Amino acid sequence: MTAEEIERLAAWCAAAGVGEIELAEAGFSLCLRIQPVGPAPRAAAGEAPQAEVLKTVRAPGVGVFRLVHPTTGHPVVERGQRVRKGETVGVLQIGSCLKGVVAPADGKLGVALAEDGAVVGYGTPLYELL
Amino acid sequence: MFDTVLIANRGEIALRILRACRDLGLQTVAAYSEADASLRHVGLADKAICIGPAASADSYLNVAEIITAAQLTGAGAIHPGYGFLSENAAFAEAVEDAGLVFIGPSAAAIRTMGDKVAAKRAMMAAGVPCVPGSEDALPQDEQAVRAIAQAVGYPVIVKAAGGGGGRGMRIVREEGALMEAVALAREEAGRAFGNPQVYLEKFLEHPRHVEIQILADRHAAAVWLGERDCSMQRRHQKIIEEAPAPGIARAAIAGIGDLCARACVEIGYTGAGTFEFLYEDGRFYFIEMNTRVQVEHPVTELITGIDIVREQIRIAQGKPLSFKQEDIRIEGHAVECRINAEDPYSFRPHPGRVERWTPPGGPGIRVESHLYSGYTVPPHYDSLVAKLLAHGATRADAIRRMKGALAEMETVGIATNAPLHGMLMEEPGFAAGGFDIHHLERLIEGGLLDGRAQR
Repeated sequence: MTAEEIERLAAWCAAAGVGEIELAEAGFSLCLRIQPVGPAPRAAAGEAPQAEVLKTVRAPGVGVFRLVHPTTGHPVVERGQRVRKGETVGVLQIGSCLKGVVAPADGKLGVALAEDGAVVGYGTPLYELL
Repeated sequence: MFDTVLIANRGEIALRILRACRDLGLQTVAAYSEADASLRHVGLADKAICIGPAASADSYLNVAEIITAAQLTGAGAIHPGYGFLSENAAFAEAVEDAGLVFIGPSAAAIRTMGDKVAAKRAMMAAGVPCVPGSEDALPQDEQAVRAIAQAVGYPVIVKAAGGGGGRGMRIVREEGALMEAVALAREEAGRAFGNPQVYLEKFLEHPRHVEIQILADRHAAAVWLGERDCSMQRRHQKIIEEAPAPGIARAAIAGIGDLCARACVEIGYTGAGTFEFLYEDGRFYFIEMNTRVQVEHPVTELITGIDIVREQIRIAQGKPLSFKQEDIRIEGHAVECRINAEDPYSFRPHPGRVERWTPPGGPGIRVESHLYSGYTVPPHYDSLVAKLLAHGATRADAIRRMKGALAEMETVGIATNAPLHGMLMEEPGFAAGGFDIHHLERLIEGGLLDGRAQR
C-alpha cells in the first residue's frame, strides 16, 4: 500500500465516521485509529435532553405494520407494557410472511406511532419506548 | 399498464427518472436508503419509502426489499437507473416474476450481454466487429498458436482465461517473442488463478472509446442515436464525454450504428442500451454492451432532441418507438463534464455539507444534479454530484460554453473536480479532439497536476 492510498483510506474513514480500521494482507498489516476532530459525531447528538422518550422501536424493513396479530386476532402488545430487549413488540406483514419487530432495549411501551395497516419502511418509528 | 414507477436508485439519475415519469403523467415512488432521506427526488416523489441502512448491500442492492416496497406502494414498474441492480439479470427476473415491469431489457438479454464470451459470440453472429483473437483457449501445439497470432496480426496480447487485473497478461510485438510469452502467461495464470489456460487478442495501442446509443421497442423496431466519444478517462472511469466523435466520418458511424440496431432486433434486445467500441485506425472493435441508461445519455439528448429516459419508459409500457431512423437528426456538438465531490488533484473523495450550490446557466447549458444549498453529500456512494453539459453549433462553441459554465458553478463546502475540467478544457490535446483513452493518464504522468495537490 502506498502512502497516498493510506491517506485516501484515512480520509474516507474520517468522512464515514469510522474510528478504527485494521487491514492485513500477506506480509503487511495496517491499523488506523482516527481521532475525531471538530464536532463529535452522532453519538453525542442522541444525548440531547429529550423528555423521557429514550428510544423508539423502529421497523426492521419494508412491510405492513400490524398492531393486531393477523393470525391470533389479538393485539401484539398493550400500551404501557414492560418489554425486554429483543422481545417481539410488533409484526410486519409482507405478503403472506410475518416479520417480528423487536424492542431495541428494555423499557415501557409508549404510544404506537404508526396505524394498523400502515405501509412502513426501514427505520419508520413504530412505538415510543419510555 | 403501470401508472406508478418505483425509482430504485439515488442522486442525479433518480431525479432524472422522476422528471421523465412526471412528463409522462406517471406517479413516482422513491425507494431510498437511511443515508438518503434528504435527497431531492425523495422530497419530490409522490411517495417515498426507506428500504434499508446506508450500506448499498442492504438498501439499493436489496432485491427483496425493493420488490416488496414496489408491491406495497402500488408501483407497477421499477426503474433501476444505472449501477446498483441495473444490469443484474437475477433482479430483472425477480421483478418480472413478481408481476412487475422491469424498465430495461429482458433478464435473458441482460444475461447474454453480461457474459463477455457470450456477448462477443452474439455480436460476431450479428456481424458486429469484435477485437480479433483466438475464439477459445490457445492450443498446446506451437504451430497452431503461431498461426492464430499471425492471423490476428501483431501486436497481440496474451490473457489469462480465468482472471483479470493484469496478471497473466503479456503484450507480444513479434513472432520471435510469442512462445516464451505464452509459456510465461500460462505459468502465471496457473499460479494466480489455478487455471493455466490463456487466449490471445489483437492489442490496440492507441484506441479511442466510441459508443453507440440505441433504443429498441418490443415490436422489433430499433434505432441508433449517434455516437459518443468517451476517451477522457482516468482508471477506466469516464470523466468527459462528447458527441459527435471528432474526426470520424458520418458514414462510418452510420455503418456501425445500423449494425448495432440490427443486432438488437436479432438478439431480442429492448429498451435503451449502449454498444461500447474501441476505435483505432478507422476500425471499430466491440468491447461490451451496457444494458441500461448510461450516465452520459444527456450528451445524445442534446444533439438529437430525444428524451432517452422517457423513451425507455414508453418502451417498457409496450409502446412502439414514436420515430424512425430517418427522423433522427444530429444537430451541433455537446460536451459533458462529470462533476465529482473529490479533491481535483489528489482525487480523494470529499463528501460533506454543501453550504451553497449555484448551478450555471445560459444558452446551451444543461445541469443534471441533485445538489441544493444545505444538502450533505454522504460518504457511502459514488462521488458524482452533478453533470454539466454544454451544447453549441460547433465543438468550439460547446467548449467555450462549458468553460463559462465551469467558472460560474459554485459548490461551497465540498471540493469538486471542476478545476481539473477547467484545465482540460484548455489542454491542447483536448482542444484538438480525437485523443486516445490513455490521454489523461499520460497528462497526469507528464506532470499536469504537479505542485497543485492541496495538503
